Amino acid sequence: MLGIFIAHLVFALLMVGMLLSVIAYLILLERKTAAWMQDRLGPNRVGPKGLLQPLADGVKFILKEEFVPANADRILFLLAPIVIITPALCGFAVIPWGGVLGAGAHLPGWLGGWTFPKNFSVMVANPRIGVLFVIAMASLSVYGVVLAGWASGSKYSFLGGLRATAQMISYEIPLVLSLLSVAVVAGTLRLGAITDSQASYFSTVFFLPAWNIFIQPAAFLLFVTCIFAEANRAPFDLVECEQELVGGYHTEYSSMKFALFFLAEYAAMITGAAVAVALFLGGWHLPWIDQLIYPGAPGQPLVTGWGGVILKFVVFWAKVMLFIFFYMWVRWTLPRFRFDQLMNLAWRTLIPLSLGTFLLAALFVYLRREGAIEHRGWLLLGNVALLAGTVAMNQLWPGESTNRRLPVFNSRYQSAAGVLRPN
Amino acid sequence: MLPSTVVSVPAVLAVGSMYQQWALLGLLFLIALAFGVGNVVMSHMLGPARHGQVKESTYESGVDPRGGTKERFNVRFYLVAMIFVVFDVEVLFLIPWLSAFNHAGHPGLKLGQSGQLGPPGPGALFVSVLIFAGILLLAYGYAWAKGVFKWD
Amino acid sequence: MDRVRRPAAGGTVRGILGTGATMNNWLLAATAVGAISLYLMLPHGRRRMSQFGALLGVLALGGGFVELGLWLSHGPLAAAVAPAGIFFYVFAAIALASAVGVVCHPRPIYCALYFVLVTLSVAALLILLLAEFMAVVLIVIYAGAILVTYVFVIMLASPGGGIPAADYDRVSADPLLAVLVSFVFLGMILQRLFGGPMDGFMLARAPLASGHAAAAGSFAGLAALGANLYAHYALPLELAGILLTISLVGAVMISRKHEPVVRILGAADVPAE
Repeated sequence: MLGIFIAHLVFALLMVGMLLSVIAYLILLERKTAAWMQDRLGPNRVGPKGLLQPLADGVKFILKEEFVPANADRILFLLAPIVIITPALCGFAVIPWGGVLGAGAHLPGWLGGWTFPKNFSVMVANPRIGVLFVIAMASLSVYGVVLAGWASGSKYSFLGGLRATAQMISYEIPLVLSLLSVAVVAGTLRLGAITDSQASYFSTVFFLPAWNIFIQPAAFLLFVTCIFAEANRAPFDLVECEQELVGGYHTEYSSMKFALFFLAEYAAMITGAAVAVALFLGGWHLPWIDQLIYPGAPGQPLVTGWGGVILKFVVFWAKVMLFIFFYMWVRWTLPRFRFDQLMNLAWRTLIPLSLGTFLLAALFVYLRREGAIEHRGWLLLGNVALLAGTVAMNQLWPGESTNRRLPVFNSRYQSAAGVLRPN
Repeated sequence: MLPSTVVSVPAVLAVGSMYQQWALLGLLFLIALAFGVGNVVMSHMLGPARHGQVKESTYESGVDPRGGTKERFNVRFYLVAMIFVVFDVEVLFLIPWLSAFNHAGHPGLKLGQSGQLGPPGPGALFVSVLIFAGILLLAYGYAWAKGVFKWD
Repeated sequence: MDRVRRPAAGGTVRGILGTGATMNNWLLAATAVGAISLYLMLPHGRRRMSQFGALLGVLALGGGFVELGLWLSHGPLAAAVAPAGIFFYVFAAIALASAVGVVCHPRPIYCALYFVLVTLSVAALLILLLAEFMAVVLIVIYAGAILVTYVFVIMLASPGGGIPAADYDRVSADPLLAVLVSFVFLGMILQRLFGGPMDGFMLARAPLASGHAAAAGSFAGLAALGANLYAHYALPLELAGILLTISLVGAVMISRKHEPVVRILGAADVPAE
């Protein structure tokens, strides 16, 4: 028992280390992606092709001057980066990174050759309410933003923090509902179990993997939209839109404290991507050749030896990386939302859609239990109908135009004639 | 299932895997906290620190700061937070339902204070949650009609 | 003299308590000392007194915990509380200390943050009771939703960094009455739990027992909660839903009464044309 506990703890430490180094390189990847999409070269001075850039950045962050504005609330100003990084580094704990390592597997000799006395889930912890844990950590991450915005004593930070908070709480409800839509069909709140339930095929005719993205595309779309907003990523990054708010809630931050905000954003991205992979994209499941490459014990196909676990781990991370590339792709493709558009999207479209998705999933489970329908294709059909209905509603609904002219006084954008000046 | 004997140290790990899961999560929380605190302290100790009046003034794109942050902001932000609380509570009420629905009709599912009643079927639970969602929709419709979601 | 009631190891507390034993006076004394210390710590503006109050509070808390620990370790609950072990006292102490911070700190934003700490440590206590759903929901609702609203209101109402807080924030309004009411209430709860027969503890044992039962199957505790809520107590649940709707109506009424005077985000001082 204690041995397994220590194994999990070691795994947790390894994952924190891996997460932090992956984040360092994600920042480089983001800059390279941006450069690539804008037909530039990107960072290429430190090391071959700029590969040592994260190292240089890290050293720079540590050695740069720490700075607290005179107007700031000193304690809260120092507390905010700690408060934002802590839940961000905890959220990944319930992600099933690589299936289950069977009992009897042992460490290589140079690591002591210790034998696992029982099955080892390749995750930090596997509580019964894993999905809720993710939600709780997401809801705690609001505090760092609020505190940073409030404690800086700067108007940019304050407005950024205010916007961020409103945005994060608005997108939390559809986020929770989309997670629950998946959980109600899977019948569990454990992320590992939900992942395992996707390791099959849609039907005997179509060899489409039964990933939740193919069963509940509406829930997937909702989830993706919401994690973009929760991580304050483009096109929902008006929290820190540089044209209006300089840096948003972290305008006044420098050195490692600024780096912690950056780390937290990327950690939230990775966690979001990992939850998306685990819940919607099949987790470690590699379709069509899974039976070949994950040799599990008969009757226990999900429990594998070292080879299977490592393969699953690699497959999972490959999917996560693709998803993160998708984040970056979106960032350099879509223009930023306006604040009213952002709030309208959350409250007028996503929340009713997510409630509909949840009720649809519940109806499907009910009908399946009653024996009326059996095939998961019905749920797919319902989801597609729901999405089509939402799009149609948005087209047909008599929406009021939110675009109206505001007089812009004392600005170089002020039209030349016919507009009153104040006084 | 209550343990009959006093469990030896580390007791919190021994009651079964549940405590173990949460002990791991708690330890991870401490690790993350230590990472944050360590970084803030480290940059405090390693970085240079030079003070100056202009340097420590609030950043406002280069001009002298005007006013403070004690600006009143739109009451809508407060309203969003209030409505969020209501919806969040209602949505989290769905989670026990989800769990019960999964086991609906299972004889192990006891009702009442002493578990004297039999398990509810999926139909009863489904109707019940439909009514609950209906109330949620009612609240939503009211807020919509009152123009709460109208941002401009 | 009351300590006689606690027999040496191996004796049965239940038998003695079951025959109408009275209040555990040591716990009551700790409560009273705690009341005095909280009164001293509540912000009156006298710094030295609040430090003395903090010292007294630590003493009261430590004494109460020692008493509670000795009492529990010999009672019939010893086996049930053993797994929680020292962690109960750690998290309870954090929760109590943060709760003191909530009522005593002169700056409202710090009060809200202490409240978050209270929520987190109470969630940890719930996890020790194996009620993990309640724990996480406590975090999501209280820390993630209600306190965010508080923080919004505080940001709305109180000045930013550097400016001293208002008088009504720095000095508590009616410390004596508040302390009296709350600690008499606490004393009543302690009387119920420790004064009478042991059935008061059934309250605390229920989630523990159901958690252990649930550990056998897959989340039966949560499922039982859901089934009871949605089938047995369906009407109260729907009423709770209606109550939430009404609270939303109230919020809308309060905040939409007038058009907001100040327009959003910077376009503030534009005069009407």
